[in-house]
Parts: sequence; C-alpha cells; structure tokens
Amino acid sequence: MKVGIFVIVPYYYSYFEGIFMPMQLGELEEIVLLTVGVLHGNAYAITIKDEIESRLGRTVTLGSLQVTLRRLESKGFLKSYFGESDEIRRGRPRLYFEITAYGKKAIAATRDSRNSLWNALPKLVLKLK
Amino acid sequence: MKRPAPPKFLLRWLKSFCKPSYHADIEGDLHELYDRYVTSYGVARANLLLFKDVLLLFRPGIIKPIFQKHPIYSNTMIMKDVQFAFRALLRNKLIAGINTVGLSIGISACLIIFLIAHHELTYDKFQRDGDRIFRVYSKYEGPSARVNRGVPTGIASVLQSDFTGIEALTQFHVYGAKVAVPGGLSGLKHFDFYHNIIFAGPEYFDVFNYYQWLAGSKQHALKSPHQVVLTESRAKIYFGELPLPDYLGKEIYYSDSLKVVVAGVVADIEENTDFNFTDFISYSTTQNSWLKEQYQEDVWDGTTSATQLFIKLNALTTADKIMQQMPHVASVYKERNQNSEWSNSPQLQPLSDLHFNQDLGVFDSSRSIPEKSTLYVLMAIAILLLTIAVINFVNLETAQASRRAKEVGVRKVLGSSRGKLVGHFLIETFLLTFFSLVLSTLITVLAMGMFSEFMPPDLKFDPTEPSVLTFLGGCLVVVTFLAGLYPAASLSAYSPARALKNLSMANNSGSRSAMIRKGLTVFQFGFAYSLIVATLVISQQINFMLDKDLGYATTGIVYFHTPWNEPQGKRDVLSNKIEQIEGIDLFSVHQSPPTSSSSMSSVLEFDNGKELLKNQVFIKVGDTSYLRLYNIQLVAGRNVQPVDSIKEYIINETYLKTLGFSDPRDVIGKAIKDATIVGVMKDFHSKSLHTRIEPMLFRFGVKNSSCVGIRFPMEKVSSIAPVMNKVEAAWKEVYPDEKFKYTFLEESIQKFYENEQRVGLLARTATGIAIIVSCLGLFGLSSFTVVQRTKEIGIRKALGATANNILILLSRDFVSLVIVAFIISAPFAWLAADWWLDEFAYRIDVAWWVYVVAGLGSLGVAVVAISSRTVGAAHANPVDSLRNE
Repeated sequence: MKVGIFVIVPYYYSYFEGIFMPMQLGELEEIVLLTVGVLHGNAYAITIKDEIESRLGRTVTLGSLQVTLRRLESKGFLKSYFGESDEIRRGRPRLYFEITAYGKKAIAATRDSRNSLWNALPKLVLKLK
Repeated sequence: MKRPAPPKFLLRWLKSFCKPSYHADIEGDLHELYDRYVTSYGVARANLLLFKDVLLLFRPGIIKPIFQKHPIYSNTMIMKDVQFAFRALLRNKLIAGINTVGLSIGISACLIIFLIAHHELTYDKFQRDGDRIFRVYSKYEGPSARVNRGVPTGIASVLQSDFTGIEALTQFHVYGAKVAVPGGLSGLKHFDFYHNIIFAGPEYFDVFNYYQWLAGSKQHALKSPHQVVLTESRAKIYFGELPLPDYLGKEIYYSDSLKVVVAGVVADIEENTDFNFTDFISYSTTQNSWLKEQYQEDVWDGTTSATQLFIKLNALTTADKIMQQMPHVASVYKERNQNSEWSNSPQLQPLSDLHFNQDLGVFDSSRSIPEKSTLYVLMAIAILLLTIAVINFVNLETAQASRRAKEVGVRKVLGSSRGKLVGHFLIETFLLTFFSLVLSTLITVLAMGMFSEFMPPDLKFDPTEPSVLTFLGGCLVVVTFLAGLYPAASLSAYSPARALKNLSMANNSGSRSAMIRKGLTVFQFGFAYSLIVATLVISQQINFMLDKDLGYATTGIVYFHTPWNEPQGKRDVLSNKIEQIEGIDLFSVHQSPPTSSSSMSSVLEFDNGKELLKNQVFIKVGDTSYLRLYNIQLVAGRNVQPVDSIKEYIINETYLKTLGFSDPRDVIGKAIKDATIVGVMKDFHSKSLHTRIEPMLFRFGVKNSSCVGIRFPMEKVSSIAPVMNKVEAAWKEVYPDEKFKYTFLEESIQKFYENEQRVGLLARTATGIAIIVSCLGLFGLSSFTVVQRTKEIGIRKALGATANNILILLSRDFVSLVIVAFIISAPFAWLAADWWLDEFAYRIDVAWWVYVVAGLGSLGVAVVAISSRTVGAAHANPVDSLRNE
C-alpha cells in the first residue's frame, strides 16, 4: 500500500496584486525574512547584508537585497519605516524593516512544509549520511 | 579628516534610473558601503566596487517605469482636462479669438495651396508604368537652338524598325474640328469647335492602357479608316443617353466632310490628366481622305507640333539605352535634309515632366503650364503664413505666463506632474487648433470662390477626400505641437514655490521667453515687410510694362482672325464689305499684329561686302496699310508696294545695327538674297517685355494673312461697339457658320502679363494675410501689456506723466521691434526683388523710396494695431486703475 504525501500550501490575499497568492517564499526571500526577524528592530539594508554575510558566509549584493526587500514588502510580509540618519549616510535616512503578521505566517508555513518533509524522511536515509 | 565622497556621476546615474521613493534609502546605503570600501581597500578600489553595486542595482524592480502612473491624475480624467481647457480658453476670450482667427487664416492659406499643389503634382500619376512612358520630341540645332514637342512623321518608323527596347509606340495627331452628327431639322446637328480630338491607331491604347472599354474593343477599334472611339461623356453629348452598345455604328462628321463611324466607347478618366482626349479617330483615316495633304507620312523636312510620338519602354530598358540609339535617327534626318542648316536630334521627355515643361508645352498652346518653381514659392509662402500664425500663438501664450503661473503652481502643489501639465496645455492648443481647422474649411470654401481665376479650373475642394483629410489631420498634429510645445514646456517648468509667491520673471523684458517673443515678432514683421516690398515692386513692374511705349499705336484698335481653312476669296469679299462701313479709320489685312504670341522667323543672309552675315530675323507680313494702321514710323525709305511679285523688305533699326549700318539711308537699296531693302522702320516690341527687341523685317503679303485689324478714329472710341456690330453682320454674310470674335489689341497685350498679374494678386493677398495676422498678434500683445501695466500707468500718471509720455512708453518696445525687422529684412527684400526683375529684359530699377515706403507702411500698420489699446490706457483716469485692487 502506498501512502501519498499531501502538503497543504496556505494562500494569502495580496492587496498589492489583488489576488490570492501562495504563501511560498523563495530561498533568498526566506533568508532575508528570517534575518529581518533576527535583527529585530535594527533591520535595514546594510545590517541585513552584514548579518547574512556573517551568519551564512555568503555574499549578497545590495541590488539583489534591495529588490528582495521591496518584493517582500509589496507582498505584505515586511513593513518599513524611515528611521534616523547620521554622518555615515550623509543625511540619507535609514529604511527599517520589520516582519508583519503575514510574514510570520509565511515563514511558519515554510517551516511547516519543511518539517513535514523532514518528518516523512525515513530514518535510514539520514543514518546513511 | 574629510571623508572621501563617492563619485558624483555614480550617484547621478542611480538617481536617473531609480524609483524616486526608493532613492533616498539606497543612496544612503551606498554612502555607508562606500565608507567601508574606502577604509578596507582604498579610494580607487572603492570606486570600482561602488560602480559594481550601482550596476547591479540597475535591474527591474528598482528602475523606475518610463510612464508613471500618477496617483491623483489618471487618464480617466481626460474629459475633465478637456473641460478645463475649454474654461481656460473662455477665460481669455480675446486671446483665444485672436489665436483662432490667426491660425484659421494661416491654415486656410496652407490648405488652398496644398489643394493647388496636390492637383498639379498628381497629373498623370495614375498611369500604369508611367515611368516607362516617354514623349519623343525634336531638338533642333542650326542657326539657333530650339525645341518642338512634335517630330517629323518619318521618325516613328525608324524607331519602330531599328530600335530595341521599345515595348509599344504610338504616333498621333492632335486635331480640332467642328463636329456634326446626323439629326436635327437641317439633317445635321452641329456642335462647337472641339479640341481634344486625336488621330490615333490602336497602339495608343497599348501605350496608355488605363482606358476601360465600355463598348467595342481594343482589338477591333481603330484598325480601319473612318472609325472613331469616343469617351462616354462625349458620346452622350453627341447622341444623348443611349445604352452603351447602341453608340456603335453611329456616324459623326468632323470639319463638315470627314465622315466616321463610332467603333468603341471608353470610360472617362476621372483622375487629373493631360490626356483628356475625347475623340480618337483612327490614324489610317488621315491617309484615306482629304486630310492626306495635311498629314503626310514619312515626312522628314517639316515638323508640326501636333504630331506626337510616345513610346513605352519594356521593363528592362532605361531611357539612356534609347538615347544611345538616337544618333541613328539624327543621321537619317541629316541624310534626308542635306541642304538644310538644321539638324534634329530627338530627345525623350518623361511623362512626369509633361505637365510642367514650359518650353515644350503639353499638347496645344492654349493650356497654361503651371511653373513648378511658382508652386514651390507658393508652398513656401503658405508655410510662412502658417508660421506667423503659430508665432502669434506662442507669443500670446508665453506673454500670459504670469497669469498662468499661479494655476501651474496650484496644480503642482496638488500633485500634478510636469508631464501632466504639458499634456494639459497641449489639450488646450489642440482644441484651439481644431476650432481653427473647422473655421478654415469654411474660409477655404469662400476663398476658393473669390480667387477662382487663380485656381486650376477643374480644382474642387472636398473635405472628405482622403488626401485632404490626411492633410488636415497632419495640420492638426503639427500645428498643435509647433504652437503648443514651447509655451507648454516653459509654463510647466515653474517651480510651484516661485509661481505662488509671484516671483516668476516671465514678463521681465530680459527673460528668455521675452527674448524669444521679441525675436519671433521681428520675424513676423520682417516677413510682412518683404511681402509689402514684393507687392510694390511687382505692381510697379506691371504698370511699367503696360504703360511702356511699345513703339506703335495700340489704342482704338481691334483685330480678328478669319477662318484659316476658308478660301482666300471670301476674305477679300469681307474686306470689301468692311471698307464700306462708316466709322472705321483704317483697316489692314496681315498675318499678326505687331505684338503677338505667335511669330515667324527665318535665317537670312546679308552680304555687306566684307562678310556674309547670317541672322535669325523675325518677319511680319501684311498689306500696305499695316505700318500706317499701327503707326509704325519709317526712319528712312518708303513703304512696300502692294505687289506679290516684287520682293521688298522694310527692316527695323535693330536689324540695321546688326548688319553694321549706322545711317539708315545707307542700307536702302541693298539686297537680302533676292529682295531689296526699301525702308527702315522704328523698333517696336514684337513680344512681351521679357525679351529684347530682335532683328525684324516687314514685307508685303496678303495671301496667307488671316488677321484683320481695324483702327477707329481717336475721338470716336465710344462708337466701336455699334460699328463692330456692322462688321459682324458683314462677317455673317461671308462666313455664315463661323463665330465672330474680335479682340482689343490692348487687351491682348495685357494678356502677355497675365502671369505677372497673377503673381501680383498672389503677393497682394499674401501681404494682406501676413499683415492682418501679424497685427492681430501685436494687438494681442499690446492689449496684454496694457492690462498688466495698468497700475504702473496709474502711478505714472498720478506722478505727472502726460498721456503722450504713456503712449510712447507703451509703444516704444513694439515700434523698435518693427524697425529692427525692417533693418534686417530690407537687404533680403532687395535681393529678392532684383532676382525677380532679372527675368525681364526691360525692367524698372527699384527706387530706394520703395523700401522706405514699405517700412513706413508696416510701421504705420503696427502703430495702428498697438494704439487701439494703448491710447485708451494712456487717457484712462489713474484713480480708476489705482482704486481697484
């Protein structure tokens, strides 16, 4: 007897797109979203970039990071506010990000789907490694 | 320590493509990153890394869209925009009115000239393979060079048999005749004398294969003698409305005795064409009837311009290839005319040149040939007239800038983008142009009636025609952008803060838009001034030509031609009858009046003892009263004797000088070939004043003279009409079938200058339009200035300025512009006038005062236009203007 595995992908309503969108995150999106959560209250482009680079040992260009941030914001997973500025930025404001409730649901959903896969993984496979 | 700043160009580049809302943050990030790069790697490396960062930011998601959707305005408001534009136009009724009138006048001028040019330039453009059809014409070289649109009839057969590359060839004779068909009370129904008849073979329809056969067929018609093919409309004229096949077999009489049978009917040509022939009589008819004498085949020694030869090349042949074979024809010509001094080397004329060639003419001399250069001058004038109307618009719009600046400021504060404002102003211009366009179609209809003599006769104005619609649509777009773009761009550029604080400097006389306004006004008045000069010069030259003493009497003289194909005896009968009529001073039978468009010339040899002089000499032929009738004076010698057998010449002074004599008495008795010089007459102008007086002689001859000139006594000029009625009665007795038509000599001389008269009318009209439109603009500008400076005028008057002071203050700027325009354009006007006058052998010298008068004229008109508003302002009570806030 074969048992199929069903993964339920939650949907959310995107006000930006005006349609229901799957709450699925891309790989970089997931990393950025998590990093914003990690940095809690101190998340703007440069710190996020630093955090990813130091924690994960991979480089992120400002271009791809900015695009990802804006995309997450437009999907409703992040929200942003202008913060203070200083001499280092020559007066340009910092744009801080924080996770929205939708964002939290989205990472949770991502983790759940991963977990369900992990749980389905036969112990044997892991041992072999 | 000062921190190194990132390269400016990178930041500017980022700004140029980045979405504005993202920009501040991203730029901050870059600054932060740059600092790190500098501390870790140094400035040079840091710049490179930063460049890489910016390059990687250049990606979708960050690049701003080209067309931004604006949150407040969107295209759903377009009807609102139209409404706003309406309101803006209605708010300034005066300015909107001036602009509409100016633009519609300019557009009408353009439209009319477009119609004329389009009409003339599309002649025979519909012909299939028109680029392969050529007319063969004669180019003679010998004692003088000349061209003839016809060819000797022998050439066709040489082309046919010896040339390669010719697909089809047709030779036809252009003919004109009285037409009659059986029917009516007397057995024959007569029609007028019709031109547009040709003798053509079936090959005609191979070369020009656009004819549609309604009855009969190309294969069978015109094959045998005494056949005719008619166009549908002509068939209806002759026989009335009939089913098409019923026309076949009907009989027609041309010139009373040439009986032919209808063998085909073709559809009329709707397009513009010079090939407007209506009766195609079979070519072989000429050889099988009494026409044989007139139209001989294989002639080499004579050329009549009525004999036309057209060829159609095959698709692979170029005109050059045919021209390379032409020397063969020339050598045959030489062979056949061994005694002649002339050589004929036939040339090819492309079909596209047919309608415009002044030297060759189309098919008969009666059609006036449009000059391509005149058409181009017309187009240039049309564009300039439209330009000055557009200038008005630009000037008035930018002058109102301060009034509109507030509006612009408020709109910008409320979130309007600059692009949106430009669009807003353009909608206004578009509406105005649209109204002008509608108005101008009305003006065009009126003007076409007023200037009908000016237009090609078959020109029609149909606004629904595709070419006209395209032109109007193009006009709408082009004028909207030309007139609207600069004002829209300059008005929408105000920063809202300055505009709302009333700091916009648009009307300071030093600002850029004010300078442009002045430049444009100078251009307008320069153009108007040049046109005034042109009008004066042209009318002076025309008056000069009409008033110039031609060297003979022209007043009180009428002439008419007797039918050339009637026997000579009849004319003698007529002369005898005329002699009996009372009230006629003198009459004379001759070939042509002293000044005539047709001329006869010959190359004569004169042996003056040392050398043989060969000259082309024009010849006048007439009876003994000719010189007396036209009051041509003899300088020496005597009149000719009325005998055909003795050849006697009277030469003119120019010929006398050409022969190398100074004293006329010396030449009397000398011989030119077999003739004797018996007298010397004063020079007179035998052609229009475009050409110099040339050597001429007069000899006796009444045999082929069909022209009868009648002089009335000077004091009885009023009695011409009753006397001419008697002459007509005499004519009717002699030629019962012919129409009697006489011409005043003075009228026919005036006809020489019809073209100039038309150019003069054109110049006057253009001047009028240019002045009206420019003055409208000046009027608008001055009334605007007056309104704007009301307070200033009030204060000045309160402080003691007189009305005159104010008047001078207000007019000074405008008047100086007009004077500058005069100074700049005077040299151009002088050059243009000189160039035009160079066409005339006898011309006026333009006096300096013409330029001054034109200048004063334009100044005067300008002052009138300004003072209509300024005078009122200068005399206004300062209390009124200062009290109102």
